[in-house]
Parts: sequence; structure tokens; C-alpha cells
Amino acid sequence: MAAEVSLNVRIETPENVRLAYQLAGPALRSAAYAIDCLFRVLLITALLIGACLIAAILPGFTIGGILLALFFIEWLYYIVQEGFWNGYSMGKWLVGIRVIHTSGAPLTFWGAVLRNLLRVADMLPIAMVFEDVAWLGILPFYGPGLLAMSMTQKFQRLGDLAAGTMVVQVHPIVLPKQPMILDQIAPITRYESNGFTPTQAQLSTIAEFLGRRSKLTYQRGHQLASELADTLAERMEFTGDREQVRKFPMAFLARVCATFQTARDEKAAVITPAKARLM
Amino acid sequence: MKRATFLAQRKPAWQNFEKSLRRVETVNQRRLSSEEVLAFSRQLREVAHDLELVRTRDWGLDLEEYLNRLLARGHDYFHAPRAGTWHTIGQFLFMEFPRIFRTWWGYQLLAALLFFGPLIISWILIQNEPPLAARFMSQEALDQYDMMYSSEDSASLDDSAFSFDSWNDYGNERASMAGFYVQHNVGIALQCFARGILLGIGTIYTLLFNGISIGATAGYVLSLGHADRFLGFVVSHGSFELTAIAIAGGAGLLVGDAALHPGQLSRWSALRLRGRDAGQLAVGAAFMLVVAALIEAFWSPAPIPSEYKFLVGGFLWFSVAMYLGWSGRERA
Repeated sequence: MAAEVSLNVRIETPENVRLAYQLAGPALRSAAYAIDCLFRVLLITALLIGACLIAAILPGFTIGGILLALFFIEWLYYIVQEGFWNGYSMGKWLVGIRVIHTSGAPLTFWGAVLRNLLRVADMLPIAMVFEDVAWLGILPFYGPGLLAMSMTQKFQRLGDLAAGTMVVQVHPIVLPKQPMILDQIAPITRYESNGFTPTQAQLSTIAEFLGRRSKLTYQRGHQLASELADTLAERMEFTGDREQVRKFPMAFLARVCATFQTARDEKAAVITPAKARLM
Repeated sequence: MKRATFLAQRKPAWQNFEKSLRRVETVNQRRLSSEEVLAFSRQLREVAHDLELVRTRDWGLDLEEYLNRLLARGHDYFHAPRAGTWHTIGQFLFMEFPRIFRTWWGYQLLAALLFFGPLIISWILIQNEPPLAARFMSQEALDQYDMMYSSEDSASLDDSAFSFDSWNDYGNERASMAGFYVQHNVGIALQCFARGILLGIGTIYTLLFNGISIGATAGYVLSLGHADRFLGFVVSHGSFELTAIAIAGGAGLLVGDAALHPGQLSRWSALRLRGRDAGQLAVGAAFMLVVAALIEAFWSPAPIPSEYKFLVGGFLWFSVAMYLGWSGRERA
């Protein structure tokens, strides 16, 4: 099987729908991990300061309490958060990633337990050398974890493999807007396009490209657009001003979009009201 | 149907679904009316249908992505795992954990042999040949045991240097030890389990290492002639503590062996399948160690004649055996 190098995973849900997720790679996960480490260090610092205040009254309970709290921060920090917070930890939430099962189901409590207990094995070297200094477990080096991640298609570390989980990116849900106002743009005439009609997939690609043009620099956008525009003009044996296409490829793409997308939509609006209600 | 009509028709439905999503995510499940639940499940299926439609007709990746994210969030809520209750915890501790322990008794037996075997051997060896202890333990550790047992006035083992003025001080001191035992022992057990995933090597190492050092300590202290005090201290919490370490080791061997002997399954699925049980075993062992820590901190060092401690300790060993052997069995 040819392995495709991609961040996309598709899962078939019980409703027979394919859901797509974007995996989180080692970079994002390390960032989340660093933030979590910071939180843990802050927690411990706050704890020690608080302990100094109580220690004057109850010395024994304070030492016991600190040791207990260290245990909780070392072993239960992730389990509690991921287990009861839908696969998020503080760091993961801030970075925008979370843990789910490879089946697409949300993380279960036992899944969270397993993947985080096995974290010890994933971050082996330092944890092994300094096993007596509990809080050093916060600063490990993830040798086996990184190795396992680089060998699996879903970037799973050992804990993930045993628990059947993966880490995916979380994006905000925004309804896409029409990329531009198409009314003002002069459509391409039949004569110019030689009767050529682009497919819906091609039109969607163009619309998406135009929708994202503000995210590219002018040069890069122009470069990409001119390739697309030239190919398209070649394909339809465009009889209009080719020089114009080369100079303003974006404008040409917008014209294509305006011509064919509105044509399709108008045709649809005329034909389908009755049918549409049936659907 | 064309894209524009589709968009015009379905947009309100998606926005409605977003609203219901926000509602079901924030409101307690029991507060939702049956109409709301029905509406949510219907909307979820509608959005699923829309997503497939957009995909098959190539109506744009942006739209596809939007619907995909919407559906993924609904899917998350729809298939959320059932929330646990206190009952679930009891069910786990008294039924499932001992059952899983018995299911994988072979691994448990092996782990017990790897732990108790060296423990007993090094114990016997060093009790008969005390100078050997220096090969197993550091000189500081030996000096510490010499000092601990040189003062005869206190019955407690680990802190005979302290004198307790009142019960308050006693409780205080015990609490600090309880914290230490939980942090230290549970940590060892969980590490022992987790390292098992590297083909079981880490687990075997931890089991042997701890078995030998515990046995060596026992042998050395007994050779000094403090059998009564030492065994009286150790017998009660040892029941839960030593068994739990062996169980955590058994759990480690279970995941470690998944990669070596996956049987009819692929290695990854074998790992996943056994990992589930192994994780539960490790958590059960952690619970047992918390019980052991409480016994070790509050009961074991109590200034009570050793005969009573042997009695209670014997009862505790018996309960652990009954618990692991019979708890959660169906009535025949």
C-alpha cells in the first residue's frame, strides 16, 4: 500500500458519513506540551508558596499534602483533564488540538487513562535517569514517542497506539462567504469562450482560490493565479485579449467565476423551485 | 438542485443546528426536552446528508469543510461516552478489576514469580550471610537501618527519633508519611506498568530490582535481630503493597507481550485490545497502593504489641487473596 503523506484522516461514522479530521503533528503537540509544562510548574510554585503559609500550623499535613499534590500533578494532570474535558488539556485547548479515538468517537475515560499512563514510556530517557526526582518528569525528552509518531500514519505515540487514540486539530466553525460580488464583473461571452464550460469542481477551486487571495502576498497570488488563468485560457481557446489574461490573471479568474457560476445558479433558480421542495 | 438554491435552502437549517449544538453542549442532558433531543438527532442526520451531497457534487471545499466541522461537533456530542457515577467506581473496584486480574492470571503469575522469587531468594541469602548486604545496598542505607533499630524505646520503625508529645503531632507526622507513600509507591507501580510497553523489558527490570532490594532489606534487618518489630511493621500493609506491585508488573507484561505474541490479531490491534485491560489493572493496582499507603502510615507504626499486628496482617493477606480470587464471580 502506498503510504500517502498527509495530515488528513477520514473516518466513517455510524451514520455512514465520512468525517474528515486534520491530524496534529509533533510541532503542534510539542507546543501544547510546553504550555502544559508551564502550567504544571506554575501549579507547583503556587502550591509551595501556599504550603509555606500553612506549614507554620500543621507541618506534617503540609508535607504529606505537597507530596500528594506532586503525585496528582505528575500522574493525574492529563488524565483528569483529557478524561473529563473531551480530550483537551490546558495546553491542547490553547493550541487548538484535542484527542479523539481513531474510530472518531470522543475520548473515553479509560482511553485518557491509558494514553497518559503510558506517557512515561514515551518520554523514557530523562524519566529513567532521574526516576527519584518526581517533578523532573515534567521535562523529559520524548525519544520513543517521537520514534513511534514518525513510524505511524496518524502520528501516534506509544500511548496513543495502545489506547487507540489520535490528536487532531480543532478549527472554528465559520460559514463560508461568497468570495466576491460578481454582479459588477463583465462576463465572458460565448464567442470568447468557444462554448467551453468548466466543471463544477474547477469552478469551486477557482472560487476558493479567489476567496483566499487576501491571505497571499500580491506576488505569490499573481504567480499562482497566472498559472491557473493561462491553463484555463488555453483549454477554452480563449479568443479575447490574451495579453490582458497574462497581466491580470485574477481578474480573468473572477470573470470565469462570474460567468459560469451565475449562469449555473440562474439556470437552477429558474428550473428547480418545485423540485427543490421535493428534496 | 443547484448550488445557490441548496445554499439558500439549507443555510437556515445549519444555523439552527449550530444553535441546538450550543444548547446541548451547555445544558445538562436531563434538562433537555424530548422534542429538543429528537430535533437534534434529526438535524444531525440532515447535516450528514448535506455533507455527502456537497462532496459528491464538488460544491466547494470551503463549504465541505464547514459542514464537516459542524457534523464533527455534533458527532462528538451524539457519541459522547456515558458519564461515570460513584456506582461505576464501585463496580470497577469490586467486580471488573478482580475479574480482569483472573482473566490474565498467567501474566499475573509470571509477574508474581519475577517479583516474589528474587525477593525471597535475596531475603534468605542475606539473612544467612549479612555481609552480602553491602553488595545490594549502599552504605548509607545500611547505616540508616542500623540507627533506626538501635533505639529500642519507640515501637515505630521509620521515625523512632521522634517523640510524640500529643496525638496531634502523631497524626501530623503520619499524614506526611501517607503523602510520601502514595507519591512514591504508586509512582513506582505505574512506572512499572508503563515501561512494559517496550516489550516488557522495563517491567521485568523494575520487578527484579524492587524484589531484590526489598528482600535484601528484610534479610539485613532480620539478621540484626529485629524480626518481631520489622515483621510487625511490614505484615499489614505488605498485603496490599507487594501484591499491587506484582499486579502492576503483570499489567506491564500484558501490554509488552502484545507486540511479541499478538495471536490472530495484528500487533497494533493486539496492543489496543490488551492495553484496555492492562490500563484497568494498573489503575486497580494504584487504588490498592493508596489503601496500602494509608495502612502503612496510620496502622503499621502504631505502638501496639506485634501479636495484634500479626493478627490484623494475617487477616489483610487473607482478604487480598479472597478479593482477587473471588470478588466479582457470578454465583454458581
